[in-house]
Amino acid sequence: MPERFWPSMVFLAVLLIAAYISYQATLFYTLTDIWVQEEQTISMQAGGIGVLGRNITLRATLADPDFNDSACVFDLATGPYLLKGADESEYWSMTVFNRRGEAMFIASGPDAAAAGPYLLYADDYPTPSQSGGFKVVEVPTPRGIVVFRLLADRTNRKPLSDVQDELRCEPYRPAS
Amino acid sequence: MGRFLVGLAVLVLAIIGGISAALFSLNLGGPLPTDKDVAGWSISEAVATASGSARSRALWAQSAFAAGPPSHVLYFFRTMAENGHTLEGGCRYRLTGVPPDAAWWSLTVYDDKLALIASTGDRSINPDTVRLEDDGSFTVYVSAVPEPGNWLSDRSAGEVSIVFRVFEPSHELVKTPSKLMLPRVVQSGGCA
Repeated sequence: MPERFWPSMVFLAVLLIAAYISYQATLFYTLTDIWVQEEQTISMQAGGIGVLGRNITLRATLADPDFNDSACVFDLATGPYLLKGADESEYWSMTVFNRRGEAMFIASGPDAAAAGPYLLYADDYPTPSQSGGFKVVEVPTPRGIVVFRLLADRTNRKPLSDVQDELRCEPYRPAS
Repeated sequence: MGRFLVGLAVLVLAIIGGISAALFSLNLGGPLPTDKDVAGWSISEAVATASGSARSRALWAQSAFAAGPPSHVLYFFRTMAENGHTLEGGCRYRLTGVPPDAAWWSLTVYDDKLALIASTGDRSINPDTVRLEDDGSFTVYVSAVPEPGNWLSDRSAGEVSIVFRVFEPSHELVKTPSKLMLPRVVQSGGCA
């Protein structure tokens, strides 16, 4: 075996590892970038972080014609958030996503109890001093998106704007 | 020193190669990544979960942003008829099935870029729009021209996909999606 065989093999292994790491890092960067861009789009449509935007147009080529989306961007570094779903007797959903597109929490109907309200806060950040009356949801990341999906066809259903009025996604301000 | 620089250059090329391969793999187009076949339909069991690969999650984020996880939504994709031929826009297909045990479901047709196809009729067949037979089953025709009963348009150039969404599937279906009675897709006429 040539004297330089093993050093060459080690170098080849380093090259393969470097290529693999850069491949994975690029994919993760792209994934996070898509979500961060969408955070910006949603907060712009909604009017800021911590504001629930109605009739939001999400980035979607595989658009679902059955649903109307409302969404908000949350930042739990500033404190917990209050979330509330719809009081609908039919299917709806409220999903909390992190910046990598993982669903960290989902509430969905038809189950009035699923509507909450919920108190959303992040690990390693101050927890609320009181959480009475709320279902507490702890998530491992301070930043992300909440997406509410309501059936778009409101024939024989409560008007969409009435149901949207019931939704909440906002910084929690305890009554003093 | 010369060998060191050559080694460094090769290392940089390897890194650039990895980055290029990643970007290329995200721009290949085609159907969304799925990991399982069930009765001719494809399903991804890793949507919106940490168990999915970074590539799969990035592709889903690009094409179906904020899609829910399989515990709450099952997405079944169909790109071929039972005769093994690719679904083509303008051809006539017959779908037969039964409503799933779920809170909501829908059948929708997309073009080769996963965009909804413009239609004069319903854009999805769902619990609100479906017309059921006496035995509780349904038949949906997918074709270029409107048809009586359940009809979805596939008036589009190129290949089309049918997506069957099942929202809040029963616990049994979440654990074993193959237990779902998925619609049969049969070519039942010519192409416009």
